[in-house]
Amino acid sequence: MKNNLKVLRAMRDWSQAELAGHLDVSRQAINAIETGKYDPSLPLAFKIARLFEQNIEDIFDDEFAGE
Amino acid sequence: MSEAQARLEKKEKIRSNILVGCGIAGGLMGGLLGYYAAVNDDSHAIFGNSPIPTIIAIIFAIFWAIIMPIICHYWYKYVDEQEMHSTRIGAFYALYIYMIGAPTWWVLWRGGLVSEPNGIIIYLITVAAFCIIWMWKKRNG
Repeated sequence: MKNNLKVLRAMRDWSQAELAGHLDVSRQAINAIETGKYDPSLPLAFKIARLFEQNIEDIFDDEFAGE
Repeated sequence: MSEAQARLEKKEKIRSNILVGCGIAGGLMGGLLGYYAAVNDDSHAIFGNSPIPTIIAIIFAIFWAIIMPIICHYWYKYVDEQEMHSTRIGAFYALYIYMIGAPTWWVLWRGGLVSEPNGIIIYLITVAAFCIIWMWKKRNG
């Protein structure tokens, strides 16, 4: 799933390891999410949204165009 | 370093120590069997089905049946969801390789086409499949 986690992380000037520390996951997990290779669970997606004070759909794009 | 990063590094260090500990334990067990094989001139002692001394069998059984579950319990306390995802996918494919491979070998053996199924070879193939897929998923999400 596409996302703008890398941009949000860069805006706070955090490394992947720093973001991983805030989310209590591994640096590899952050890298996998940023590159779209791994979709986080709903609880982790909420945690990311709360950390960056954004809505989940503003961070993650499921490419569903809708009506 | 922030408190969150320090906590993360501590978890990674614990995981690394568990892996190193398992590696050392595996090395010691392999070394013990290797020593037994060398002393008794038994080249099949490590992966074959030849008899081994009762005390070695008991030590190995204790490791696999008692110590390994404890190690696994602690390992999974310190992994994140992406690692668990990789583990589940690895286990899923390994199970199917076992469920398809073991009976296929068994019926082919009964039909006189291949040699008798070897439990330890089936075990090693299953574990190898799990490890390869787990590592691949861990690196590629």
